[in-house]
Amino acid sequence: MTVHVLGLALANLCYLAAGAGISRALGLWRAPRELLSALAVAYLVGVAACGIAAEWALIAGLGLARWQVVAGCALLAATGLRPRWDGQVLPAPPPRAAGRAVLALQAAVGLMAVMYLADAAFRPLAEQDAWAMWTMKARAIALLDGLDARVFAGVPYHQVHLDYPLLIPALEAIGFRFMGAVDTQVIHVQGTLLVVALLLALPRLLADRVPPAAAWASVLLIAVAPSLVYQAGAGLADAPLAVFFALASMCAWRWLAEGRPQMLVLTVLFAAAVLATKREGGPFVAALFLVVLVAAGRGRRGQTIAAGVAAVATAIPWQLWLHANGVDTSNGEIPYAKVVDPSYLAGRLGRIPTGAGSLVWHAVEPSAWLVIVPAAAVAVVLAVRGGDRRTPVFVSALACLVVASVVWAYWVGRPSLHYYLDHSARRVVTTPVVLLGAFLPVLLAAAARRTSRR
Amino acid sequence: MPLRLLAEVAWQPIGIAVAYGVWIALGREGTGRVVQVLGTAAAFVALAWLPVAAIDLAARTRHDARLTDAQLASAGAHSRSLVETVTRLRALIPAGDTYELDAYSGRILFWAHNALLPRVAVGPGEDAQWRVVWRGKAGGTGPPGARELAPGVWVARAS
Repeated sequence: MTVHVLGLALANLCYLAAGAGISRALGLWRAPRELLSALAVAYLVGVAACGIAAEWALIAGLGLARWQVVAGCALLAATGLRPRWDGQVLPAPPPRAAGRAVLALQAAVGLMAVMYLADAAFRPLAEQDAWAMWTMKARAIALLDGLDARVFAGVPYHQVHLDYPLLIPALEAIGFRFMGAVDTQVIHVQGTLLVVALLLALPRLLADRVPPAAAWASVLLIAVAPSLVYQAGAGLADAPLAVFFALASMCAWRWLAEGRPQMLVLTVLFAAAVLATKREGGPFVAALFLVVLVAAGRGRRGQTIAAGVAAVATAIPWQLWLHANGVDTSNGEIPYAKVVDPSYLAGRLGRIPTGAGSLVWHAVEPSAWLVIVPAAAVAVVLAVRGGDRRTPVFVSALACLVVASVVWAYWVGRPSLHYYLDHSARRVVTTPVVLLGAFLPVLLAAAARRTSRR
Repeated sequence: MPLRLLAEVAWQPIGIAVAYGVWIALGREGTGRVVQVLGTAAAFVALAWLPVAAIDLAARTRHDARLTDAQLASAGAHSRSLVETVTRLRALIPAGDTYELDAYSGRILFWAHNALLPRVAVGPGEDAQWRVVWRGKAGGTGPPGARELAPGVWVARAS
């Protein structure tokens, strides 16, 4: 096992190197000392970029051999040799030493991070979607040396959602390559690293916007949430989807607030990673850019549209590959021909309140997500009652649209509603709840501006 | 269980102390009383739940670390006989060969397609090198030239 862990660590060091290069090119850090404080952000940038690049490499016929991954990461890392932008993109770390309460919260988050990783290293491949779909595809890539159309476009494999994008299978396949074996226990560390990196990146991304105590308290609240404790190392794609979506939303919000183009570039990168992670990411990204488009105002609508088009363009190669290999992309679960048929929709109206009610319950259930959603809801109300309406409206509109897109799928989807609710409701709320948890300190700060003015 | 409960209860004064520190820190930031209450409440809930989450994770890690190779190989499978039969198929069909699997249940297809890699499943009429018929019940006769690998599971090599 130790050798496998070291192999996976080496693959992730390659992602970190790639991310460090890209983030330096974007001006997220200059000196090595600054990189240390932006390490988690740089790592996530690297994983997103390498995951998308790995999907493209597979489509181009490569097998994700170790030398290919190292060469690709070295190329991405080299982009940092010549920074393109001046000025500080990420806020400077707080000048004064953190208080004892903040240090205690940081220690608690650190403890959870270590325990997450230890748990993932021993987790058996027990989740059906993990062994039947995500890790199965990763094994196919590693064992058949790339994107073998007999599997990825093969009729017998149609049950494994062949049209789903490949970021997670590609990352896991790279993990297997670097381990030198198909270790289905240690591979769970890959997804867990994304969750841990998000927890460590959020306070850094918000350093100048929120009090450190609020940022670390919110991060700890996310870290100890039972549903995330279960999902982080389960080998499913819902937690990574939530990680990339929270980052895309956070960068978009910062771009709206400050107008730095680098933040829009990061929004595109993380939105592209959302699209490359799961098919459900499509409506989520559409919701994000719709909200940004409305919030951006007339002067920046062109940039928003260009960013949205750029994000969507990254998903085109995979769609072309599917089309070229005759894979049915019509999504058997959603009958697109009927989604505008009034009689079809009217006959299923009863699914809306049941589906929405179930999703809301799964999101507010204390035994799953503690008090993240109620706390965010109260903070939204407080911030709206104050003068700062932009932030709470941005966050709540985004969360509501994400939930609405899932309710829409439940409404029009062919499978029975009970199948959907039993199979997916618990997991699909991960993205909106993690989003609300990530923005909780921002919402508190927005509310605080009002109360401190009184 | 009592030990676990004791640990969780014993932690609470520490959690309360740290939450009080958050209260002071937010007060220094001048966030206003309402936000101070909300931020401290979030910290308190997270800190109160920390031992529960940590003990859950530790218990699961301890459990998973003791799983045997056989238990790991069958994790997620719906029956032990499914795992055993697919393992025998793996031993019989060489890596890289193609097979056609006609099974009575989708669960068998899911498991077999994953576990038999790098053997590749092909559809009917695609000249599979191996043909596997997996029936729900033992007995009867299999396809011509097939042998019964396990009750109800017939395997034939294409000539």
